[in-house]
This record gives sequence, structure tokens and C-alpha cells, in this order.
Amino acid sequence: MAAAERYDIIVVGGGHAGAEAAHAAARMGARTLLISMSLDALGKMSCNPAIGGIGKGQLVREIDALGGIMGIAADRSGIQFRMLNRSKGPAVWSPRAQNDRMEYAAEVRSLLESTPNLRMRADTVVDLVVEQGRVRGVVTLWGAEFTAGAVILTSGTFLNGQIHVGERRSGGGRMGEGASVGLTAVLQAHGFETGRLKTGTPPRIDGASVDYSSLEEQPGEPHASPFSYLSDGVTENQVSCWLTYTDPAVHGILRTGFDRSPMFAGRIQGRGPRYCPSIEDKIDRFADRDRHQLFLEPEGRRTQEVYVNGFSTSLPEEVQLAALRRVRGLENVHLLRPGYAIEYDYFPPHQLKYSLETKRIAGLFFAGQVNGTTGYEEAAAQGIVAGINAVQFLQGAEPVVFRRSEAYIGVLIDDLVAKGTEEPYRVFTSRAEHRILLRQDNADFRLTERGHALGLAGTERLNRMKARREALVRMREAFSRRSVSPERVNAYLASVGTTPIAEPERLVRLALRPQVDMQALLEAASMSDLSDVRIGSESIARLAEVEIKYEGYLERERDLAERMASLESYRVPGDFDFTGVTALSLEAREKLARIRPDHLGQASRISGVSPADVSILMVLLKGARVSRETPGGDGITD
Amino acid sequence: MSPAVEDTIAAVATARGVAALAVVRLSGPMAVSIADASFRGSDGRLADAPTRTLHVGHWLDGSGVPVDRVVVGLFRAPNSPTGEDVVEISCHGGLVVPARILARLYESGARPARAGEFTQRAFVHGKLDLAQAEAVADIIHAQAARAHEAAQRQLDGRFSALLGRLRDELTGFCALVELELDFSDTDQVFADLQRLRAVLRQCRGTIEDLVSHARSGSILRDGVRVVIAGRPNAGKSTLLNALVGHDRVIVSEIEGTTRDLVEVDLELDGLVFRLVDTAGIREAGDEIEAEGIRRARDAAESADIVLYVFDAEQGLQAEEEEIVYRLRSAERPVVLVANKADRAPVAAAEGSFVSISARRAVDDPRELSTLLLALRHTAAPLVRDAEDSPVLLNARHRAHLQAADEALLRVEVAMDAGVPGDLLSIDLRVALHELGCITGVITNEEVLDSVFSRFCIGK
Ligand SMILES: Cc1cc2nc3c(=O)[nH]c(=O)nc-3n(C[C@H](O)[C@H](O)[C@H](O)COP(=O)(O)OP(=O)(O)OC[C@H]3O[C@@H](n4cnc5c(N)ncnc54)[C@H](O)[C@@H]3O)c2cc1C
Ligand SMILES: Nc1nc2c(ncn2[C@@H]2O[C@H](COP(=O)(O)OP(=O)(O)OP(=O)(O)O)[C@@H](O)[C@H]2O)c(=O)[nH]1
Ligand SMILES: [Mg+2]
Repeated sequence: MAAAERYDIIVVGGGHAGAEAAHAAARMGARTLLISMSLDALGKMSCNPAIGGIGKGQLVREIDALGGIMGIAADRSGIQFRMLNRSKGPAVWSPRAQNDRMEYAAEVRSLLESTPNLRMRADTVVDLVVEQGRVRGVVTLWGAEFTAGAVILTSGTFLNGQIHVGERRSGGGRMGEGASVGLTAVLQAHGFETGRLKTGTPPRIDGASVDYSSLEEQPGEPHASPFSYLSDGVTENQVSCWLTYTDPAVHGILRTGFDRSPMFAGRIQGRGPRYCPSIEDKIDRFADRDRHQLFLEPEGRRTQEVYVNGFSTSLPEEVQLAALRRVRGLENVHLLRPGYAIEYDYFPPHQLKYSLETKRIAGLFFAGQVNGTTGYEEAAAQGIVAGINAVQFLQGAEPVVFRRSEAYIGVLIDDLVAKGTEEPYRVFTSRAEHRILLRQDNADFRLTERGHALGLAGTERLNRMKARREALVRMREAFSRRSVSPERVNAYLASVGTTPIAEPERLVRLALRPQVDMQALLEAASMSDLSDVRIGSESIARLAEVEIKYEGYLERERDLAERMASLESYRVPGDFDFTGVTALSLEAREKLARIRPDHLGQASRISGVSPADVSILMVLLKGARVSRETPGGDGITD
Repeated sequence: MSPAVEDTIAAVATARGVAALAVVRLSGPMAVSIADASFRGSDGRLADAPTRTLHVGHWLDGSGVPVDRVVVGLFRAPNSPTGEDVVEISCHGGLVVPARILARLYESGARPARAGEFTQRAFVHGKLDLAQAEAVADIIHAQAARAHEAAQRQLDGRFSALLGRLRDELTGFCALVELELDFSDTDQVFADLQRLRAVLRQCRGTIEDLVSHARSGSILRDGVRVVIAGRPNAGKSTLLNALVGHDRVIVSEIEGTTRDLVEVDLELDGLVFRLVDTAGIREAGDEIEAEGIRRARDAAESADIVLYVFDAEQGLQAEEEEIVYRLRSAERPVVLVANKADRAPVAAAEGSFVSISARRAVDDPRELSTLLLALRHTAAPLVRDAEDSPVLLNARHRAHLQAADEALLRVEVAMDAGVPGDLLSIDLRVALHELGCITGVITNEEVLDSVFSRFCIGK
């Protein structure tokens, strides 16, 4: 064996978590090595060719605001862009893009290649070097050894991966790629708990065999918002998706394969995502629905490959094909590759600290699907946090932890660490109780200064954020100062169904009306000096409008966030003996002893820990403080 | 550090002062052995006795000299008031005996209890939730037997159960609204707005019910507030003196004698009436009187019952009828009292008012019987309301309920204005948070502080 090469940080796995972790660590100045089984698969989208979506779009913007790469790669490789939830409030607007699968991976690779301090290596890590509870390096399949002060494991769906199609199965981390065997056992030997999860993907079809004429088109949005605060816009040359539906006949065909389904036959033990069910699950569980929506999503500009969103399945291939051919527009479809299910090992995330460092082995960090999450964005978000904190760890600096009221990233990690997860975890806006503070339009205000201070976000990013902040202040001033005459806006006001004005009215008053969209109003009133103010393609008028319209809500939310945060000030002493508190429910005692929360806020979010349990802990933690401070009274008071 | 409560605490549980009996309470893991060190029971050591038993015997001081003959109650953990071993020593009242028993307990290893600590321990051992803990406080404060009953009922957790149901409803509503945010891109249909509206209305209705019961709750806790109002010289102060049976307030033939509000408690059939004498209502002579009259009017408007006294010789004046009418339309029960019957006898058949001579009543309580009957009769439905409701609200409960109600109102208004769901859910969560503050589902330092600081030790 050759002498070990030395690095500061080694990242194992080049998926979305690994790419972001390696980039962050290297940008912050750490000599970083990214080892992945195949360098041709860096940044590969295992499942659908899309980035963002509800909740996920916010994550991408946060990653970008901190200085990550996902937003940039998605903007450059996007072929269709939309803002979801436009009919809802601004807090849940979420950007989403269809991406060219190959382009996206190529962008990620080139972004990584141009990152200083970052080296890459194609190999499979099979062992960890651990000395006295601290990680020292890794050993690969081909016998190389690399040493480092910190290791970030981001092996995704690859650990002991098993792919199922009907009754056939084979080892693999993704269709066409081998599984990663060995690491799970190594970590188990170090005392880690492991679990088994499952996910699935739909078939890919040849677009040339689709009859689009009978399908409903879903075009992109013109002038769509990019993900990255550094992008000035996205391509207007967008590609459409297409909408079609299953029907009872399709369901009938699918049912004929149920007895050979690895899910129903019990060959798959791992838990799958409830909110992302396979088509067989949908027709089984929702038998009363006679149709399900399917989106045909193009996989790229230079390929005819199409992803059948909504048709995730692991039924036998011939059943998949027969059923697809009963779907309108797919009568003559040619299958490029069947849908499949994959089972893989994960490490229940209560074994992590908030920094994503494992509690068992110092310097070892986990990020991405290995922590029980699903989704590229969730993986990338953990990746950037692990990358940052591995550097902090080496420097002996405080870990970077985002609060739930500060970022979706904070919600994601708090949910994982505090509650653990027994099914693949996905972000939702409903998981973020402070979501109105965590909008896709203000991620830079929330995070860029922090990213810059860490050496991750560059100066240009910081300057753009400041420019946006100043423009916003000026816009709000203009709204309170300037009026608009009835002639100029009444037609617009009538068109959105709100009462016209009789006299000139200040803009701020109009912005308060729920029906009014200020960008549209300013354009209608030809106040182009306001409507044209954009930084990075984002309308500043719209940003100002959100702040004005929802001021009351924002205030109440900040209030609530503060009240909730007070629980976090109750630190749990490291040697606190939960099992001794007989007043706690048995389940709470067990969970608390296992998870060992840092503070009462975390304790309160552990499932099985009831509010009464939290009160008891509070009384005890408080009682402990009180009895040290004040001696008892004389025993008689009124 | 060990979180378990290890020390044993002691305190006098009954009010200080001259009383026939006092109770000294001891709670904690050493309670039984500490008591055994000084107690000589006729049936042996407490350590050998079963739980929930009473023992008669002598209490000895440090040198073995009997201090008092006592009855000792033994409760073993966890089935005790605090969830720990508890010993309750009933001894003779006064200042000396309880203090000597307590001193002996401290010598034997107990430590003085801090304010609210017994309740705090009960809470820690899962004996009470926050609302129940507050009910304990209300028991302490309850001055009459009836209040005790209602507080007892709250201890059963009925109030908490009701709030729990309310929170469940709202949580479901909130979940639906939020579901819609995350799955709007699917073709799923979520609960329709009309149904959501109905849930909202129902929740607000329940909250408002609870808040309005707060009034009746306070009747049991603080007594029925009876405000005596009328023109100057109608005989209000004389009547108050007659009702309480001694010369409590100044009576004179000068109009405008009473200026400030004077409150006196009167107990009737275990129910406390809080009588309030007020300044006579007329065009005020000076600034002080004007202020007194303003207070009198305010008091009448917030009374549980108004005794409106007028001079039978002069009859009820037009502007007085106006006052009575206004009070009655605000659903304030008014008992009209025609005073000075010794000078102007009124036919008893005219049942719309009670005829009385306050002057005679001062010497002869029998003169009061009709009035007392009327008072009891008027108070009865109020008391019944209070007893039927599962709630006994204190000011903190009321504040949280009102905040929850306001938040839900904002949701309703916002729904009408077409405000999107993500914003609706913010106020829904505010409402949930407020409700949680009552049952202890959402805890925070202030709440616990305010709850525990209200307890006298020993309870
Ligand atoms: C079949 C399938 C269906 C999916 N369906 C969905 C879905 O419906 N919705 C959704 O949101 N997400 C879905 N996903 C999940 C999504 O692809 C992942 O969440 C995301 O890719 C996870 O990113 P990651 O960086 O954690 O891991 P991955 O993207 O899996 O990347 C792991 C990387 O680590 C490398 N690696 C693994 N082990 C080693 C080792 N020992 N040494 C060196 N390199 C190693 C691999 O080569 C790979 O490059 C699906 C994934 C699959 C495979
Ligand atoms: N004859 C007779 N005189 C009464 C009776 N009740 C009160 N008085 C007299 O009426 C006068 C006024 O009585 P108060 O009780 O002071 O009257 P008040 O309503 O309190 O008057 P203000 O405090 O001035 O508003 C006194 O001289 C009383 O003695 C009664 O029943 N019969
Ligand atoms: Mg008087």
C-alpha cells in the first residue's frame, strides 16, 4: 500500500450532498478530496429531472444565498421554469425547474473542477480509519488510503442498495451502477444503528413514441425567476411538459401485476415515502379515485428521453408497459427503461449532532440520503452544512446551526436530529412553522452575510444582497411618498375586482389590498421607474409589496418565534439522567435517553415526548437552578 | 446531577392564626422516617403501616416530651397528593404547637418548603396539569363551600379536556390548510372552505362560551357582587348596615354622605355575597361627589345583582326608571327596593319591588326576610350557571382565551378578504399557542412562574 495522501477533509460520494459539501469545504479553504464511485456520475439526478418545487425551491435559494452551487447549476441547465403556488401567499411561492439531466451533471462537475483546493478521485470507500474515537481517514476498494481530519459520508442510496423490478432483483445503488458494500458493516461495528428505507422511480420512455397531439401542454413561465441570486435571468427558450391521466382500465392492468409486486409480496421491508407513493400504492390505497395525473417531463434538450412523473412503480416490466399503453397519448409508447424500487441502508439521524457530526465518531459527518432524507435539495442542504461544519470542526470553531425561524435548512436539520425519521424525509412548507419569515425572496437577507463571513459566499454575492436591501428600502419609501391618480390605475383595479379610487391614492395604500399585485399595477400605471427596478431579475416592487401587505403577520410571526425560542434557552446538562425521572412517561424517558437533546426546544420536538413531559423537565431544570441560588424560606408564608 | 427530587419538605398547610386545628405537611422520600422520629402512635411505627391510613398518637419534642396529641395521615408514593411519600399531621391550632412540630421536623432532616413547592412536586410527578394546578390555587382562594365544589370539578380535568378537544379541532383545520400549500400542484381536492368556516365558528363559539362562563366562575370564587345603588338619602347605607348586622358605614340625613365604594362580605347558605355601598346618584355638587357617582354607575354596570333603593314616599323618578331600564337591558338583574316603608306603607301585592324599612331592619332582622328571599332567588340562576359550567376561569385563562378568540376572528376576517392559506395558518397557530398556554401543552417560563408563584406553601 502506498503512503497515505493527506487532506483536511474527505468527502465520500459525489451526489448532491457530496458535491455541495466538497465545494463548501474547499471554498472555505480546506484541502478537500472528493471520492466517488464514478466521476462520470457527479451531481447525477437519480430520479426526476427537476430541481426545486414546494419547500424545496426555498432550500435551493438558501443554499445559493450561503454560496452553494445547486442554484447556479440549476439555472444554467434549466429547460423550463415556473413559480409554484402563485395563487397562494408569497411565503409558499416556490421556484421549480425542469433540467437537462446531462447538462445539470456537467455543470456540477465543471463548478467542482473550477473550485480551488478541491481534488477528485474515482474509487469506492470501504473502510474508515478511526483512532481513539476520532476519524483519521478512509481506505478504498483499490487499496488506497487517504488521511484527513474530517470525513463527510454522503453515499446516498448506495449502501447495500437492492434494486427491484417485479420479481427480479439485483444489487445496485442506482440503475446501472453498483451498490456500495462494506461501509454499513464498518459503521455498525462502531456502534451505529442502521435502518432500511425504500424509494422508487417511474419508467423512462422514448418521446418519439408519444402522441403529444392528444395531450394537455404545460409550458414554462415567461420571465421566470432564477434560483441563484447571482443569475440575472433564465433562458426564454423553454421546453413544455405534458399532462395526461390514468383511468380505471389502466388501474385494472396494473392490478394484474400486484401478486408479483416486491412491495405487496413483502420482498421489500424498507419503509417508503408516504407522500410520494408508487402508482400501485395509489390505486391500492385510494381505490375510490378513478384517475391519477401524470406529467411527461422531458429529460433534456438533446434527448428524446421522457420521465413519466406520477408513475413510480416496481411492478414487472411487461405490466408497466401494458398499463402505460392504455394511457392517452402513450398508445404506442416505447419503454427505454422500466421503473424500479430501491432499498438501501440509512443511519437514523438522531445519531447526529446539529452540526451533522456523528455523536459516536468525532470528525465524521453524515449528509444526504444516508440520513434518511429523500430529494436532491434536502441532500444538498445537508451537504453544505456538513461541509461548513467539518471546516469549523478542524478550526475548533463553534458549529454553524440555523434556527427554525431562520432557514428551511434549520427546520430540516432540527427535524432530523430532534425527531429522527422512520420514513424518507422530505421538506414541506407545513413543516416550517415560521414559513412566512422563510420566503424564497429573502433567503439572501437571511443568510448571505453569514455565508460571506464563513468565506463561502463571495463578495459579488454580498454586494448584490446589499444592493437589493437598499433598493427595497428606497422602494418602500417611494410607496409611502408617491401617489397615483385614478385615471392611471382604475382600469387595473377594476380588472382585479377591487374598488376604484376617486382621488389620487398613495401607493402604500393600494399595496395593502389583497387583490393588488404591485408589479402589475405599476406596469399598468406606466410607473416604469419603479416597476423596472430589478436586481438579479427579481422585482423589488414585489418584495416591497410583500413586506407591506403582510406586515402584521410578519410581526406576529416574529413574536411567536421569539416565544418559542425561549425553550431553547433551557440547556440540558450533559450528565442529566433522564431515566431517573419517573414522572416522565416511559416512552419519553426512553427517547430522551436515546436522543439526548441539547436543550428543551429539541426535547419538545421529539415524538413521544408530550407537553406534560416538557413541563416536567422545565420544572426540574428550573428547580435545579433555583435550589442552587436561593436557600429555603422559614416554612411559613402567606 | 440527578434530576430526582431528593429532599423532603415540610410546611404548615393551614392558614396561620387562631384556629382549632392546624395541619403540618411533609412530602418526600424521607417523610415517613422523619415523622417516625417524633411520632408515638398507639398502633406502632408509620414505617410498618399501610398507605392511606390514619394514626392517633403523641408528638414528642427532641427530649421525648409530648408536644401535642395528633392524628397522622399516611400516603405512600405514588398514590399521594404530591406523588411522593406524604405525612399529614393534624394538631391543635394556634401559633405555638404547629411551629414546634415543624421545628422538630427540620431537626430530623426535612427542609422548609418554598412557596408553591408541594404543588410543583405534584406537577412534576404528573399529578396535575397546569390548569389543574391553578384549580388548586383557586381552592385555596375559594371562600365558600360552593366554590370548593366547582374547583373540585375542574381538578377532574374537565376544563382541560374541553380545551384539548378545541385544540384538536383547530389542529385539524390548520393541517388541512397547510396540506393545501404543499400539494397544490396535485389534482387532489382538500376540505372545502365552507366546512372550514363551520369548524372555525364552532371553535369561536366554544371559546366565547368559556369566556362568558368566566363571570359565573368568578361568582363562586369571589362571591356574588351585589351593588346597592339609588338616589342620595334613599337609605342605601342604612340598608347595608342592616344586612351585615352592624354599623359598618356612616348614615346621615345629609345628601351625598357616601362618596367612595364600600365593600362588605355577607355569607348566606354557604354562598358569599359581596355587598357594595355606593354614592347616591344625582347632579353632583362637587368634584369628589362627581367621581363617586361615576364609580357608583360603573359598579352597577359590572354588578352581578343591583339592589336599586328608592324612597317609597317619593316613588321611582323618571330618570331612575331610565337607569334601571338600561341596567336590565344589559342583562344585569335588578331588585327594586322601596325603602322607608315605615312612613309610606306600600301594598305587598305590588310584586315588582320589595318594600322594606331599612331603619326598622337595623334592629329587627325579620324585616329583611323578603329582601333576602329576593336576593337568593336572583342569585340562584347565576350560581346554577356557574356550577353547570365545567370551568372556573382565572384572569390568566381568560387572557389566553381572549387572545385565541381574537386570532380566530382574524382568521375569519382574513378568509372573507380572500387572504391566502399560508397566512391564515399563522393566526391559527397563534390561537393554538394561546390555548396551549392554558393546558400546559405549550409551556414557557412565564406561565410556570405565574402559576407557581400563586401558591401558598403547604397546598
Ligand atoms: C430509484 C430512486 C428513486 C428516487 N426517487 C425520488 C423521489 O421520488 N423523490 C425525491 O425527492 N428523491 C428521489 N430519489 C432520491 C434522490 O435521488 C436522492 O435523494 C438524492 O440524489 C440524494 O443525494 P445524495 O447526495 O445523498 O446521494 P446520491 O445522489 O445517491 O449520491 C451518492 C453518491 O455517493 C457515491 N457513493 C456511494 N457510496 C460510495 C462509496 N462507498 N465510496 C465512494 N462513493 C460512494 C455514489 O456513487 C453517488 O455518486 C430517488 C433516488 C433513487 C435512486
Ligand atoms: N324613616 C326612615 N328613614 C330612613 C330609613 N332608611 C334610612 N332612613 C334615613 O334616611 C337618611 C339617609 O339614609 P342613608 O342610609 O344615609 O342614605 P343613603 O342612600 O346612603 O344616602 P347617600 O349616602 O347620601 O347617598 C338617614 O337619615 C336615615 O336615617 C327608613 O327605612 N325609614
Ligand atoms: Mg350612604
